[in-house]
Amino acid sequence: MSSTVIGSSILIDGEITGEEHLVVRGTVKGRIQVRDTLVIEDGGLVEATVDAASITVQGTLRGDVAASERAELRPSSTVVGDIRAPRILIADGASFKGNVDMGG
Amino acid sequence: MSQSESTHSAVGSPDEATTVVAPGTHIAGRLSGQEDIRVHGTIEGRIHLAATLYVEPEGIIAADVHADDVVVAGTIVGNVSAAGSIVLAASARVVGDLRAPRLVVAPGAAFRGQVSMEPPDEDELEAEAEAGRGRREGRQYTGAAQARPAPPRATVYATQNGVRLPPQRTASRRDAVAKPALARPRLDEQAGDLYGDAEEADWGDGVKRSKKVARPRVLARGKHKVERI
Repeated sequence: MSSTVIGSSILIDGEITGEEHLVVRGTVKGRIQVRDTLVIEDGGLVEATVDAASITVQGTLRGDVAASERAELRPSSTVVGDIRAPRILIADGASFKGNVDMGG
Repeated sequence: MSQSESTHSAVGSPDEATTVVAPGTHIAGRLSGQEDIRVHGTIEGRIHLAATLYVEPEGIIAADVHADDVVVAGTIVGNVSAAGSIVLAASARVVGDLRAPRLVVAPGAAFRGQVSMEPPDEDELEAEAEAGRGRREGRQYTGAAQARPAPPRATVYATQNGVRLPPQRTASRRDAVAKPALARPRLDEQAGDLYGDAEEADWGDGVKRSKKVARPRVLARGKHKVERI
């Protein structure tokens, strides 16, 4: 119940901040900052600077990513930007361009 | 969907809406889309929606809203215009101007602002869409303040010198509407004298008369609105 969902026909140009789980099926441009998990689902497009505890990408993400726990790129995902997270998972089939910083 | 149904759904069944803004979530900027949005959290900026916006009791909207329908059980600060209906449930707190062909205010709802029940002007809608298109192109979002340029409509009849006028202003506004209506017959007589029985004069008179017939209806529906005099 306490999770935010951005539907597929929704376009947000601005900033999303929150405490809860955030699911993006639509388009978000600007900045995202959540204390919980961010999931960019298939068809979702995020062109933003992202800061979250955990990030799962199945759609498209353009922008720099910082995750305090982990970042996961699923097979259908496209990511362009730098990723900074202690644990990073990139699945076979995922498309990624950018720098990786695992804090090592 | 009937009016009572939408009022009920403001309280129950959250699963209908595909987009949900949870209580701890804050969105600042421009939001547009074609599906229902249910707001438990906060949205700041501008909302343009071709569907229904539900503002739940804990939801706060500090934005100008344009939607097909708006159901408010929470708080809105900003102007709201709807193509269909605006429903203010008992727990609603609204400060701003409302514009919709249908408006329902439940007992217990708090509202301050103007009401217009005329459908939005087409050219006004076009201008708004144009402005939205212009802003969407070529610029990235940089801050909340920048994303909220004061909408032209707000400055026209909600504020003066940047300050929202007190309620008693509506009385003088009504005078402003009434005066031309009273003055009009005298103008018509003059026109009639000048042109005599010429066909052109008849045609001019006919136009004026048709305007005269239309005016009382407009006044009765949107009491405080000055339009096309």
